[in-house]
Amino acid sequence: MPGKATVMKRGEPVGLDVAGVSASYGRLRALDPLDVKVKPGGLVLVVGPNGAGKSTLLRTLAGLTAKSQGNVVLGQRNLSRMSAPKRARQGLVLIPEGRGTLPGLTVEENLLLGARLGGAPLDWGDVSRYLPRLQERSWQNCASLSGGEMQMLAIARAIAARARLLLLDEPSRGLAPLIVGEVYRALQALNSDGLGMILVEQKSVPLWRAPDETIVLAAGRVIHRAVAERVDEAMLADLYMSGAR
Amino acid sequence: MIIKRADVALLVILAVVVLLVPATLGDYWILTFGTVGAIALAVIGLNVAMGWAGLLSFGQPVFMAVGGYTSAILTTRYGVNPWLALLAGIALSAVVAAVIGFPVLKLESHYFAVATFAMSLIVLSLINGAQGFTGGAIGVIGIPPLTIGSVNFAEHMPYYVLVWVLVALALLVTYAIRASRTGRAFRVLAARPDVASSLGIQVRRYRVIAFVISAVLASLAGSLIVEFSTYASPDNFNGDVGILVFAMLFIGGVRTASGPIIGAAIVTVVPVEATAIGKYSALTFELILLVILVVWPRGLGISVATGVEDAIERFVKNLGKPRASVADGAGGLGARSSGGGDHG
Repeated sequence: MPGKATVMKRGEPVGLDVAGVSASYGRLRALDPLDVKVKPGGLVLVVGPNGAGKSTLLRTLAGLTAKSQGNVVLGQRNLSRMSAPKRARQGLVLIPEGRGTLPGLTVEENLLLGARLGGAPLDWGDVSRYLPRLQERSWQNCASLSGGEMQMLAIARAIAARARLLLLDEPSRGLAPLIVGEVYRALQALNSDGLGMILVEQKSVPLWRAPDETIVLAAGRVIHRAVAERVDEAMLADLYMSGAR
Repeated sequence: MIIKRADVALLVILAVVVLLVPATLGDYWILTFGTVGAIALAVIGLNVAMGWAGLLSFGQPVFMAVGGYTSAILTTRYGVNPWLALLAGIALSAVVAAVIGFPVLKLESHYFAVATFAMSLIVLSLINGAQGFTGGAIGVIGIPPLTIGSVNFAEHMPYYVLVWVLVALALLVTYAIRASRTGRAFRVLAARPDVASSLGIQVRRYRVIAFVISAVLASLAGSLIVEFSTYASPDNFNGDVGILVFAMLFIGGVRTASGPIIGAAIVTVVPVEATAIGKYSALTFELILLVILVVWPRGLGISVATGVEDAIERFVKNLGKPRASVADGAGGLGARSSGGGDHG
């Protein structure tokens, strides 16, 4: 098991305190005000059908939504008025849907972008502790990687960026169950080492541990919050039927 | 890999051609290839902005005009040394690109392309309108040439050498930028602009940097053209030039080192040579461009070079294999199909 030193190079684990965050696209309200708390090293799962506002929530937290309101506090630092690049430099790192890897750049160049974000030189040792096979492919164009490898690379880039809290948008999407297991194992190691996460998935998926909270979104609003309660597929189906606008 | 093997091979071939032209061909070809080199500088600039940073720009004639007219006006009206005038043109182009770029680069993709085309029309109107200053449609004549001691760069051979040294330097510098943090940021903008911000990249700032680099190289091209011809005219910098520079990059190969030079050579040389055909020369040239774009959308040079590279690899692979008999011909097919296609 990797030691805590790798992901904690920026200091002790930090939490995220989100209060009254909402987002709009023009006049269309995409996300009603909502609160989220991630404790240091914690795990919050956000689930919901297509168009529920899950990606909008993560993009808003990352500062990528043009019209948004509310408070976003990472550790002791209020990021609410910061631009997306500044939020990312503070350690609030988004791994977007579709992995966000960059065709035309090699694996190493992708990681160098992460290292630049983290303000420190790339340390392959840090990455290899969690994703040992990636270095073999350092000179490969990332466009030639498989979906699972791209997801690993996106996680590796966040490690190189010395992320303090991860926003993960459907990391299992389009991956075979075996590969999802591998991706989750890497996330488990990071989470165990104190890296907090908000994980968005379309369905309630079996994770490496019970999330601290599960938030169910539909049509841009919270329709259910579950603390220490497993939200299964049957329950989600009931919630969607009753909770949609 | 910073630069593909096929692209390196093409650069070597181009270097040999550039070295051989003065030794083997006459004065006409020295002049023609000198012009190709000067235009290639503007295309290299476009490759940075469009190929690497994803900025769809028709703005190269704007900065060619800024460079060209700064050189023309400073030297003829104020007696400034032509080299200093050239540097002033570059500095002014960089400032103009930064000042105009900051608001304009907020626009995405096609909107930005239209905005740059509008900029080229505005600059043309300004040149034509400010007749007392720019000479209007007549232009500026009697521009003193670039010189070092007794070497006059308005003469064909010195001009040829100067231009190709600058092309080599431009390639070296732009590829050094490409391999740097700034170059990686450019490539993120081109590949996934939606991801750039979440990687801490200030999107507009890097777009402006790419636009400024492209403007500097276009300005250099503009200054070289007018200092060589000792004449600046609005015709040198009209909207057609923007479209031709754009076409040169696509024909030569976007995101390649050799592409700007090959594209500039084809678009400069073919129409002149096609005049031998007679009244359908323009149509012939346009059809050639169309065929190149349709058959080799990645660019003529890089497509042919990659094809040759694949063929050589297949040949070398097959050398080590026992000859397939007629009976096991399928094996031969298999060998052929497995050989190609692994060049990303």
